[in-house]
Parts: sequence; C-alpha cells; structure tokens
Amino acid sequence: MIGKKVIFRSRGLPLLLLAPQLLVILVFFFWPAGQAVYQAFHLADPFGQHFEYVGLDNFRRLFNSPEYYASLWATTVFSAGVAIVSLGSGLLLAAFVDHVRRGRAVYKSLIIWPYAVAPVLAGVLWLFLFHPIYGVVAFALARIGIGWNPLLNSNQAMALVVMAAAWKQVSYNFVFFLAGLQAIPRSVLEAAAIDGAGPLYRFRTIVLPLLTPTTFFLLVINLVYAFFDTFGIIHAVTHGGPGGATNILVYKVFADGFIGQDLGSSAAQSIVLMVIVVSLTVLQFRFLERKVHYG
Amino acid sequence: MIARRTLLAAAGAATLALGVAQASAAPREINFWYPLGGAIGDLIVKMTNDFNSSQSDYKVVPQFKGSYDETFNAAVAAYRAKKHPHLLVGIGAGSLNLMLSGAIYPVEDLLKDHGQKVDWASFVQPVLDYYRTPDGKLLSLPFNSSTPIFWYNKDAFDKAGLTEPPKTWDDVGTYAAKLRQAGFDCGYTTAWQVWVNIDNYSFLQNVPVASQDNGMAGIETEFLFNKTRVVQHIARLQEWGKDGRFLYTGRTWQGAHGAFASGKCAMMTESSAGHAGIKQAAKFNFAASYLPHEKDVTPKNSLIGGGSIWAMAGHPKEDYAGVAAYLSFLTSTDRQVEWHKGTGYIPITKAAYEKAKAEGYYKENPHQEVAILQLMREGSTSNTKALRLGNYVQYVAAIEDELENIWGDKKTAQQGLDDAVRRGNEILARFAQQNRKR
Repeated sequence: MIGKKVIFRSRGLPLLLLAPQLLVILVFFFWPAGQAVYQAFHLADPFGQHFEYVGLDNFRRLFNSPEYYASLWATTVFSAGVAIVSLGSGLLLAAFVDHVRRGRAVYKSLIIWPYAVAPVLAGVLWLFLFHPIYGVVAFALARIGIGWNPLLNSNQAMALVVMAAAWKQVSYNFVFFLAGLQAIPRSVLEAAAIDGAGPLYRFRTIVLPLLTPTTFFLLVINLVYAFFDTFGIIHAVTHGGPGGATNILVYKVFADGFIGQDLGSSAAQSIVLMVIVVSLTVLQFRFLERKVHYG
Repeated sequence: MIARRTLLAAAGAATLALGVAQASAAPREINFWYPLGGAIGDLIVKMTNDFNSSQSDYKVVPQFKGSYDETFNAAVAAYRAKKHPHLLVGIGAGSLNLMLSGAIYPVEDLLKDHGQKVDWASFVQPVLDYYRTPDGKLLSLPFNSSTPIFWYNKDAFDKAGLTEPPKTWDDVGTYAAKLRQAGFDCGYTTAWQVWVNIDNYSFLQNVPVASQDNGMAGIETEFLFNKTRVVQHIARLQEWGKDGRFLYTGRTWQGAHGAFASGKCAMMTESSAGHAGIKQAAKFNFAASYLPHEKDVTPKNSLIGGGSIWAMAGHPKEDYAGVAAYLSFLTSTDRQVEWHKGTGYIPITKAAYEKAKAEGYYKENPHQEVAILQLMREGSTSNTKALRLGNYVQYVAAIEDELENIWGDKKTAQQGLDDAVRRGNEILARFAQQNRKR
C-alpha cells in the first residue's frame, strides 16, 4: 500500500494543528510524570512545606521491603487471573451470542451493561453480595456449609477481587470477540463443515487462529486494565487485605500516596510500575505477536 | 427547548442577584469540613444553623467530606491549592502530623487573639491533655471525643445464663464458650482492632505502646507492643478465633456492628460513639460496661479516640474572629449537652457532664457514663496519658495487615507483632526524619 502524503508549504500550520494534542499530552502526561520523577527522589510532608532530597532512598526502601515483593506476586496472580477469567468468559459469551438467532440484541445489551459501572461501584456491588457478615451470597454459602470468609482467607479474597475486576471487563472483551467472530468469513466455515469438520474442530482450527489479532489486542488491554484501573475495586472490596494478600502494585501506589500521604514512596512505586508495564507490553509485542495471524 | 432557555436565563439572573446580595450584606463565610455523616452530621448542621442565625457577621458553611482519611486528604490537597477550609475535624490519633504541619493556627492562641474567654480549667483534663503541646498549649479543640467500651447482648446473656458483664479477659473467654454452647455463632468481636486491642489494652494494663512516653516526650519513637503483655493477649484472641470464641469482622467498625446487631456475636468492643448506630440496628436488649482487663491488674484509664477541630492558617485576619466565636459557641454547656446526648461522644466540659447527670441522663443511658468514668480513672501514668505518633494512617494500616496475618493463622502472634513493629518503626523513622530539622 502506498502511504498518503500531504505536503504543507510552511512548518507553522502542521505545528498549529498538532498543538492542541501536544498540549494535552504535555499537561496531562509529561508534567505529572515529571513531578513523579522529582518526588521519587524526595521526602516530602503532605502539606508541601518541607522537601528533602533523599537520592535513591525511596527506591532502596522499596526493594528492601518484603511487603513490596509480596505485592509484586499478588499483582502477578491478580492480573493473570483477571486476564484469564475475563478473556475466557468474554470469548465464551461471544461464541454463544454469535450462534443465537432470536433476541441477540437483548443478550448483547445485557452483557455490555457492566462496562458502564464505575470500578468502585462494581466493587461495592460484589462486596454486598459476598461480605461474610452482611453478604447475601455469603449467607447462602454458609447455609450450604461452605466456610466463606474473604476477611481472613487470602485465597478467597483474591478470588473475590479477581471476579469483581474480571466481571467488569467481560463486556469489553465480549464486544471485541463478537466483532471478531462476525468478521470470520462464513464461506470458510461452511467449506470446513462440508469437508466433515465438527463444530469444536472448526472452532479450534479456524475460528481461534483467525481471532488471534483480537485476542492479542485484548490481552494487552486487559493486562493494562488489571495493572492500572482496578484500585477502585480493591479499595471497595478488600482494602488490600487480608494481610496485604490483595495489595496489588497500583493499589499500593494509591494507598501509600493518597491515603497515607507518603508521596515520595508512592512516586517511586509508580515509576517502577510504569517500567514494569512498558516492558511487559514490549515483550508481548516482540514474542507473542509473532503468533498472531492478521489474515 | 424554550422552557430550558427560560430556565437558564432565570438561573443566570438568580446567580447575579445572589452575587449582588452577597456584595452588599456579605456575612463572612467560614468553611468547616468534617468526616461525620448520618445523624451526627445532621446535628453539626443543626448546631451550625443555630450559630448562623444567632448573629449576622459570619456564616459557617458545614461540609461532610467522607471518612477521616478522605477529609484530611481533601484538606491537604486544598491547602496546597490555597483553597483550604478554616476549620477541619481531624482524627485524634493523627494529631501529630497536623501539629507539626505548620498549616494550623493553635486554637488557644486563636481564641485569645480574638477575645474569646474560655475557661480551660472547666474542661475534662485527660481530653484536653491529648491535644496539648509538651509545654501545655492547646492546639486543637476536642470535639468528638470517645473511648471504647464493652457492649453486650443482654438477651443472649440471659439465654446463656450469664448475669453480669465480664470483668477480666479470662471471663470473656469463659463467657464466649458459654455463648457458643447456647447456640451463638461467635462469642466476641471488635471494631477498631488496633485502637482497642493494642492501644487501649496497653493503657488499661499500664504498659507502653511506644517509646518516649508513647510519643509525648519526643518524635524519635519506636513501637514497643511486641515486647509487652499485648503479645499474650493477641495470641489468646488468635486461639479463640479457632473455635469461634472470637470472630474477626474487618477493619474499622461496619463489620463488627453488623455482627453484633444481627445477633451473631453477643459481645463487642467498640467506641462509646457507636451508641446511636447500635440502638438503631439492634432488635434486642443491650448494655455496655467497662473494657475487660487482666485479672492481676487494677485497670488504668482508657485512651481517647475520635477527633478534634483544627483551625487552619492562612485566611484573612477578619475571618478568624468569626472562627473564634463559632468555636466558643460550640463549647458552651448547652451545646455540649446537646452534642453528648445526640451522638454518644463524651462531653468535653465538666459542667456539661454535671448537667447531663443532674438531668438523669445516665440513669437511662448508663453506658454513656461508663465511657466518661473509664476515661477519668485516677492514677494516670506516662503509659496512659496519651498516644502521639506520626504518620498514623500509614502505621495503623501496617499493624492491621499483620493482625490479619495472625487471625488468618499465617503467623504466630509474636511473629505478626514483630513484623508490625518492624514496619511501624520504619514509618515512624520516616516521620522523624521529615520533622527533625524543625
């Protein structure tokens, strides 16, 4: 394909056209990011009256803290859990809806709904269902003899926040998977069916490979979501507990910085977090993308 | 569409009119932020309206700002943007950060500078001491002061054949076992686990929570509760957790209230200010008594909780005359009695206490007096005067983390408390580093 090239006579106009976007990026990304870097090397009091340069102290403190490594591990489990559950159920629902004849629009709307719920609200909703003292589902679980207490059991707490975070993201994945499914040429599937391939075999050998671009895209998006957008859910459901079991990196940034007012450490943490996510994304593009068929 | 346009025009005109009115009459606005919602917040609004209609120079604007942390953080952010309120209710345990912030106007100076004569000697002294500097200056006005007490379900006690509230922690264990036998899910639960089972436990048993007289003598402090009887106490609760004599119901208070009010747990330690909420939710007879203690000690006074009102610096001088008038208004005996009865917070002046007593209020609400008597026990020591440590929000979160590890049987009481102290000490050291040079 030949790229379109527009030639401007002067430099002024293109710069002027770019200016609004550049300004937004500057103000909302580079400026705060610069502040974060500055703060990461300082010890500051909350009221901003006292600043002290402490060098790499904030980072040293982090990497000497067992709690930080625990948080790293919790983040790994959490984001893997969220990606698997939300991608899996998104795909499953999309495959079902793709086969439905009647009432497809209704199913679609219903499944898309949760995406409109703010993360904190999603968290509160799940908390009301599953809180061991006043949760409706927890009450039912106790009735049938299942000991449910995410306030004490870290695995149950992790399962709960993964469910809450994934539930919200399923809608998003569903929309993309459904679009992906509908873009698969019917003729190919029909030809395979005529050749005697069963539905599962067709799904595995034709549908899945043709969905890899969508899946790859969604994987990146879901991981970024799990890493950055989920602190509201954690805040509402577990506050990072019990014993730090669900204290994922982004929640720790939020809790230490915005609740505890330890701005230096929080800034250092957000820099580490950014490095992690950038390298994860680069790795994904380098290694996973090779397996993607763009059709 | 026309309707909408008319509406907009009307709104515009109204705003304009309001602006003009303000320019001419202009009572000075005083902003007051607090973290107390529900019935307590309504009472603040009511008392503030009374103040506003009692004079025409000032208008205090009360604003509920969420939890203690949220309110404090909102004020911090506002301070940095120079849009902070005149008055702020801060959590008592977090006082040190405000004391050293340089962002406050000490209330004792504020009231004196504006000619408000307040008789500090008439105040309940342990409450006042909590907010004083080492050289005796009062920095913030005690407002919503409380202390934890022991709440119990009387109907459940009857069912289990128990007639008296437990006096010692051993009694609590025995009672809990009996309640379990009588068919109750759990024996004992607690709100505010750190405040009750570490801080107040240490106070009653007369052991230190932290060095430097619990932080009253200086800012270079360390936690000590992993070396005191607190360890045995926490180990005992962990043990009780295994057979349902103790149930952990989460941080802060909502879980404990739920468990108590639903009849699941028949005994609970919770703030005296929990009264309104418990009364509203509990469908059974309940009562309250003193916090339990170990059988070999004579218990000391308990520790204050709740919060106080801070005046923030940096507003025009004229505003502060109104601030002083408002604060003075809040400390009047009638207001204090109204506040005490309406909220369950303790009265901050002796006059208010005497008045409530004379009115027979404690005959009907004996648990309200329990809190006051428990706080005012004679023979306070350097271990039981107050607790004043920096970076409260951070260190409490770290201790709660480790307590959860103990309740969840991931660590022994000693291991968990050692880790809590290690993490807490790092946070205290950071605070000292920040404030040493001032």
